[in-house]
Amino acid sequence: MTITSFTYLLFLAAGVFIYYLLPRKWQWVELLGLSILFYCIVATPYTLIYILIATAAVYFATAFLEKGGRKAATAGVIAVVINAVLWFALKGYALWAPLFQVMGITVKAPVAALGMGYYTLQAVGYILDCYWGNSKPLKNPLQLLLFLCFFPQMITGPISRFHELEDMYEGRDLSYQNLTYGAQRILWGFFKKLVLAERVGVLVAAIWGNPEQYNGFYSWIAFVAFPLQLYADFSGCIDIALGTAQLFGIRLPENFNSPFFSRTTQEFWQRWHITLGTWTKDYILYPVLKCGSMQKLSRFLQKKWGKKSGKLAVTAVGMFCVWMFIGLWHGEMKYVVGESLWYWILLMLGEIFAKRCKKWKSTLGITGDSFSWHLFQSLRTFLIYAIGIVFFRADNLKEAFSFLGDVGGVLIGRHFNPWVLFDGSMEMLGIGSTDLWVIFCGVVLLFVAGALREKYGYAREWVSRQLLPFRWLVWCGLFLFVVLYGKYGAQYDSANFIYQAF
Amino acid sequence: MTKKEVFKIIGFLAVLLMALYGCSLICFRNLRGFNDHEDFYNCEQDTVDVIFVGGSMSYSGFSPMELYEKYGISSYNFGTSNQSMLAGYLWTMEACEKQDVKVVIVEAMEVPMSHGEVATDVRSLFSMGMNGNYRKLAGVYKRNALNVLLPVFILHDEWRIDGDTFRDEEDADYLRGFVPINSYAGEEYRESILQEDPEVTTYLNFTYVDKLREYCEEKGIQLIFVKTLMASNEVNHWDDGCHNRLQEYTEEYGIPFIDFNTAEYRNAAGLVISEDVAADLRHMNVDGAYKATDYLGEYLLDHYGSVLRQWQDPGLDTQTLEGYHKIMEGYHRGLDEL
Repeated sequence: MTITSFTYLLFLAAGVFIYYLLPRKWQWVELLGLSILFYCIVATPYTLIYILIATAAVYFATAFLEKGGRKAATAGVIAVVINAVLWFALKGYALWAPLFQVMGITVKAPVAALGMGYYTLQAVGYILDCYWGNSKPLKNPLQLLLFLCFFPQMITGPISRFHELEDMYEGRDLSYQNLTYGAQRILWGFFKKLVLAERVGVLVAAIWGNPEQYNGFYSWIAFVAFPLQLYADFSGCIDIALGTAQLFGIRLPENFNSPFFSRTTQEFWQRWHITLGTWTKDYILYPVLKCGSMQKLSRFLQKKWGKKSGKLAVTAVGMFCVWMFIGLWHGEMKYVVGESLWYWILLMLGEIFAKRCKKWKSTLGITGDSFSWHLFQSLRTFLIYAIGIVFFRADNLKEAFSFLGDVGGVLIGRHFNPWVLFDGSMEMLGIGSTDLWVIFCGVVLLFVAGALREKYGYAREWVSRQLLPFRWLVWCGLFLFVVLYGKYGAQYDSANFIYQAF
Repeated sequence: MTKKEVFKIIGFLAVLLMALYGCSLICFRNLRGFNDHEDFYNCEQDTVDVIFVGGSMSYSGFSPMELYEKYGISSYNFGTSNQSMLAGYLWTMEACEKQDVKVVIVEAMEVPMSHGEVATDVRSLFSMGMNGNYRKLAGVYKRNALNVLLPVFILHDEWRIDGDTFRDEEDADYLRGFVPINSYAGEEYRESILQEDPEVTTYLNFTYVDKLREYCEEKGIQLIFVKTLMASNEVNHWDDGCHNRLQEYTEEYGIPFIDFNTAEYRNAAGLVISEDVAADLRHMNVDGAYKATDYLGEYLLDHYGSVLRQWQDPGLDTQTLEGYHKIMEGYHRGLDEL
């Protein structure tokens, strides 16, 4: 069962029906039951033991934390280490397996728990929140288990914080708004995944799969299309997760906020995978910057290089830790060396040259609020993101650099073949002209929804303020669009979500 | 939740269902394709003696009009793209409701095509273009009635409106289900796809073959299996395994089986692979179709002449015959020019 299947919708419908029949105080028990059932259907059932170990470690640690004292801190550290080691052993295979290979030992990749990267961060965040006194430890271990394995967030997150979910144990009454908004959010997620991501994925896979044949402008197509595929795939899954949770009256944190409208790379990372960004900010960046040795270093550098440069240098160290962590969390060195390093360097350069850029802007008479300047900034941010994401798509660093070489080569006239965009060659990539139109319409729809969100908040809230016939037309139209042009059913094996791997 | 909100949800779902049904109708209409057999329903009652069922190899391989003009046998070709045995069986029953059918000729590629997948079966059902309300199919196809009632869920990828989707109305009215192809396999292909190895076997699903056989036995209809000529094993799924398995089956039940891929029948019909198979190497071209039809015409008269009516007085009007000749001249000219 995938979360885009008909079976999942039946599972969900039954779950929601029973949920609202139950007394409020028992509703969370049904959610726990559904989560375990979902896990056993979707993942390898025995790997549930890893979640149980993580839950037990967190439960006992937080129980000690409430008592306070030195033992509490030790218990907290032990629980964090247990979770980190479990994650590293099972999900960090690509990081440690090469060491064994050097010694001539071949180790098979272990089967990790579903959503391990996400629930491990939730567990660590919860321990730290309890340690810092931001959250009160749960008395009931089953409630803690539900917090860690709540089924909508098991596939690709979002990474929830305890204070965002602590009211889910109180139960909910049936609400029209929750039902309709939840269903609409799921439908939007289906549209992104089944109509857009799956279609664009065919194009991207064909070009990446045969770089010798598909070079020049083909590389540019894949270069531009992959960020779109990743966004549609990841945010589509998040939409389904958020919509599912809302059907039960639970609001999960947002993970995306129209990232391609961002003007700077910094802003982009505040709009893309938001929960991972805020997690690393709260549990890595701030603790690193606030620790004693960093404070000393900051004072030392401020004396030596001046206040601003000294502060910037310390921030750079903190940001470096954050980006290295993000790279490692993705589980392969290519993410660390390529993607993380690239964005860290770009962000730091942005900080260093921020003042000079302002000067250049005023010298050139550029108005900050003009549409064209905004468009230029958004395109520049997209380009920077697209370069970094090449390391995400490539199998290794060599392949990534070779692909980037091909993309750059077009600019200097190597493999100059722009006609492939118009002479029907695109249809050789496994998608027909109808598919290209569907992609075009889908992208326009995404853009319109993003623009509405920028201006009015959630697009569906804007729709809900319109007249009934218009609302029904919008949702019926979207439903039919997914039914008619979605890639699903017996003939298709819908691919897993890309971020499901983490 | 208030009563008003409940009604709103019910109203929305009703509108959605209607929209889905509307899309299903469009989907269904499109899938009927260029060969939707509406013309069959214009035939006078009890005027068709022989019917052909099968996939594209059937509709491109047998010409009812040739059979009529040369041998006086009135027939209709119910071939539809990727037709499975289930669809062939249903077409036979549909034809027998309107006509006093004496012989059913099955293009044998239907048998290995029928592997029992729900999607293939439903696709096949909807591409058959059976007249009347398709809801009755839901009753026949009990395994997945929802997909039949709302085929848009299973046929969504077929939903497109382009030139190829609709039949050529003018041609179809004069050909009685025959769809001629005018291209050559070429000199490169001269060898038969069959190696005539008796040891090779393949699993074939005979569920609906059995049903069709039993139905024909019950109605006193003669069943014949015919495999059209093909070229190159690389693109075709008909091989010694399929041939041997079907041969075994037909011998067991005393059903005639004519495989034009064997030297015996190919030579008897005067078929030549390089000249009579189309460029796609799967279907017979118009020349091949005429030779195969001629062979079948003689075969039918030899073996079942006593039960088949010889239609002296044209049941078909002059306009239809003239239209047919005009179309076929065009196809032959196209083939000659290659």
